[in-house]
Amino acid sequence: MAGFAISFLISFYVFFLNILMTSLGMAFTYGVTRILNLAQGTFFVLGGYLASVFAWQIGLAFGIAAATAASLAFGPLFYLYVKALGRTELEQLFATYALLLIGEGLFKLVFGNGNYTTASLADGLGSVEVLGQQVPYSYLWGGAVAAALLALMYLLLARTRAGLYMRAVRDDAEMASALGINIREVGLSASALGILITAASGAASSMWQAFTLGLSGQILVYAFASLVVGGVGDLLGVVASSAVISAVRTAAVFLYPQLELVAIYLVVIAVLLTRPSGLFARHARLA
Amino acid sequence: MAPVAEDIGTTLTVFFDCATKQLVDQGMMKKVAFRTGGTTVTDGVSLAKYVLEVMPDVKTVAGLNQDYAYGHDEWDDFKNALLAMKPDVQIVGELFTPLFTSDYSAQISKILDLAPDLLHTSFWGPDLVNFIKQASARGLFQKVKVAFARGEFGLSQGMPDGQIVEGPDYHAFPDPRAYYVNRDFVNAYQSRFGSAPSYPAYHMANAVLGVKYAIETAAAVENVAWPDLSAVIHVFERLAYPAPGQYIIMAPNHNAMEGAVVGVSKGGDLEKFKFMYPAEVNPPVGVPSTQWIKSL
Repeated sequence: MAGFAISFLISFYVFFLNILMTSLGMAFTYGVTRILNLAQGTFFVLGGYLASVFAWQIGLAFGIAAATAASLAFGPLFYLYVKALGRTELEQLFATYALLLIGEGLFKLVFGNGNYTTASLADGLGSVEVLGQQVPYSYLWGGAVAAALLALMYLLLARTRAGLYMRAVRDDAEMASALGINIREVGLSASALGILITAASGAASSMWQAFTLGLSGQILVYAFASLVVGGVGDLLGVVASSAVISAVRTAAVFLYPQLELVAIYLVVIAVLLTRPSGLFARHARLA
Repeated sequence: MAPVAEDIGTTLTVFFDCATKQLVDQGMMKKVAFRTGGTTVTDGVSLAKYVLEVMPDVKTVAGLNQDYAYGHDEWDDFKNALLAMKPDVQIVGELFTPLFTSDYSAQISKILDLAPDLLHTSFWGPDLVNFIKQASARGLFQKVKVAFARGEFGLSQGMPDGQIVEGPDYHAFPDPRAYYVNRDFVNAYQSRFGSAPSYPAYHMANAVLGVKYAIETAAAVENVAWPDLSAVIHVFERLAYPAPGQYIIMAPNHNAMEGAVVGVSKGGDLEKFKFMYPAEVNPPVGVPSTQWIKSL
């Protein structure tokens, strides 16, 4: 029984980490800028690709850090791109979806169709044995990265002037603007941060996941599920909903594997029917 | 694709790597459609035969495959072949995951929990890489032996030692020192791409060479510069030709009788590998695969 519990807990934790990593940056960006970024996966995959390339040159930790730093440049570019192409949410959806397709094309051009991962390097980190089960340190380091990103976002939002502006823009952009907040600058820095978070998550995920063509769209499925369940744009909600989805998926695989994907969608539908603004949303979803 | 190609009926259509047995079992390649490679039956039967040679006492088996037609066919053909040849084998778990799943932690936990003697998987591409990396990190390969259908690609992606891997093709077979077609192919591929050819490269070579030989032979027989389609089809239906990985023998059902290489992984290579002869791992022409597998 203890063995079963620990193997359940390990899978629960790992998948929780996976969903959290894919949805954190998306939640942050949407929360502040109200840009629903369909190209989120593109930046996640970019982080993974870059980390895999860098890590072989300069080592695992520096590789992940370098990939994150390199992605910093894409944040402002992304914001300007979306603002130039789309004013309404629908136009923004199209603009970011186009970016997703462009990204896939560029990845094919630059990285080819190989599988990029730092898993072999991460193997060198070793693993710890818990009740007869091997838990790789890479997952624990990944958890540390996620925790650090969350702490960073929390501190930024709750304790700094920039965070205050971001929260003001999130709650009421028009009023914030009337009070003299430069919405454009807040949007620029928030989307840069969102993309930085996403790329860092992708870079860290390369320790256990291979990056390849076609992935950018695939990971959206779980990220969306997490956002819908948690309430779009709420950090704590994303953490909690990632946990809920992971628990449901892990239980499904253990008890009735045929239901793996269906189970996740059932949760999403149930939340949409009963609490359409998400389980943890503080504000009603705006039309 | 096949029904449409046959409907139009004017374009020679050659499938090079698709593995579905339905094309053969339902007689879907009638006139212009051909396939120069084996099917999931070839994979499943050759893998099952090899498993019983190296693990004659295998008792419990589980499957982890992708949740679409290919994954289900691979698992069914392997499972049914194994059960036909060793009826006391127990199937303890059948797992299917969506294509391009990036996290297999739950499946790995479940398999560790089931602790079967053997796990079967027909993963390919990123799924194969993710599974190998994540399962290695969790120590799965020390506890469970895994049989990889079409796992040859994994050899260059950190495949752990001691696992059973089916090609269907493998660059060291037939021995390049003895068989010039494979020697030239491996050398040309290596100098262009910097690595040994993978099995899809062999399958593509089968297709390109098949088309080339069918057209050349038809042209020679008809004594024309460019033969018409019916002459090419007439030749293709009766063609046997040397390809890099093996001799390809086209059968009247428009499908190749292809054999398969199976071996044990060691340091990114295969050792103790064996070639399963085409007639041993493909149903005779006209016999439905399920019926043939039951008779093994």
